[in-house]
Amino acid sequence: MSDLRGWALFICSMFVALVLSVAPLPFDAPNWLKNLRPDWLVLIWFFWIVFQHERCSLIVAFGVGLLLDVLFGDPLGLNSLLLVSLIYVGRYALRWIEPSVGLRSSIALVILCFLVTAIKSLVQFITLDVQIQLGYILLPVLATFLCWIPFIPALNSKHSQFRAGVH
Amino acid sequence: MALRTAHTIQSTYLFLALFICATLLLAVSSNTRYLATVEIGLRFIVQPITYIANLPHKATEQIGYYFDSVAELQLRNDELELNLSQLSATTAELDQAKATIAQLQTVLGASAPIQAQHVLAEIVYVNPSRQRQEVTINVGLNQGVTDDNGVLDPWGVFGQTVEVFPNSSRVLLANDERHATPVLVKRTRRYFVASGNGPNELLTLDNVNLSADVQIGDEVVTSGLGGIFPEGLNVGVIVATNDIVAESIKHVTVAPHARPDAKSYLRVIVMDSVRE
Repeated sequence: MSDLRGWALFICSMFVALVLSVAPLPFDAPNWLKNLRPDWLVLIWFFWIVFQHERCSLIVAFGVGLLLDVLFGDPLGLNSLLLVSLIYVGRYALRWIEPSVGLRSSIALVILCFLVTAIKSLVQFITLDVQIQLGYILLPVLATFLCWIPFIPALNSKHSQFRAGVH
Repeated sequence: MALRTAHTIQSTYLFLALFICATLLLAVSSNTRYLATVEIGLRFIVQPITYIANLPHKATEQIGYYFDSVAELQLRNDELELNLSQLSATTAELDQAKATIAQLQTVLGASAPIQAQHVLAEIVYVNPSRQRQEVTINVGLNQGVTDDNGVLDPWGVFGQTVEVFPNSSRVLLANDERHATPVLVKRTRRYFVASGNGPNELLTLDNVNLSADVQIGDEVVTSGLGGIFPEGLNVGVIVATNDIVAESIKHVTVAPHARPDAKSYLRVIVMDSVRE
């Protein structure tokens, strides 16, 4: 992938993730459906961490986090803090993920997504008095994992190409 | 190897700097309004994102209107005309009642009630957060809206403003878990507090004594306490009561009249603090 095309794809994917994160559902949509909205930003950032981690700039993540704060009405800094931490931890997890991308990346994603959602709920409880419910935390994690599955073949093929290149 | 280590250290320093920065932002923004200007700037940047996110929804609506048959439109028009004539009659009655009240107040020497003005608003953005029932409307400080103004839809109490920007405001819906409306039961004039219970849930009346006279079908209206809503605005109707003998309370459920899904115009109540 040429560098310019890669960056264009990176920026487009971020924009699409932001749009999907705030796309409105009908007011009367059932609660389970509302809870099943995947955490698109976590998903897309994690994909880029595993796919091409050099594109994942901490500063860009900080900026995207601020936009997300405004879109969700969260206190400024909350999503920046979580995204920056996600990228930093994700990069460290790469060494563990690389030997078996499909399985280990899924495990890492579920753990990181759970931590991000749980910490966000905790901070919202402290700052905005929003009640913590297990459904608010677990269902988005499940939805994020389900949406992650189609990304696995792309990651597997990229890593098998990389390994073939090395050998 | 040395290069990689240097890169890792640099990345760690950057992470720590951004982590501290985000934590400070979080602490300041959750406790003060010093960052309101920054938020206004960021709101401007996210406008294209919200616009594009709403496009499919708007397109569906427009296509729906386009394919409405002439007969359906005629029917809708007839309904609106009927409503208009009914409302005109009601307005005339209200004007007469207002004049009578004013005369009575003059005779009794009573002070006039707080005057409320309405600002018409439209929903421009629905907060996608699962835990919070919030919308953004297209009026703000420039239109005279302030924090804690009541918001109504054509059917009843919709919510209240919680954060106001120059040309927009964030509205907390009446069914949000953090929202409570001072109400009274119209039939008995007993005062209660109606609390929200989250998305798609009904409201509940708090701390209702077992002996309280509340019945299914009772209309619940605002009590005027709290200074956000004037007295007598429709809130909902009692749909269920359950006695919890162990706690000596009654669990009373209220179906709200407001219809957030109707996408109709909203009215923001701007209380005039000056009494006549």
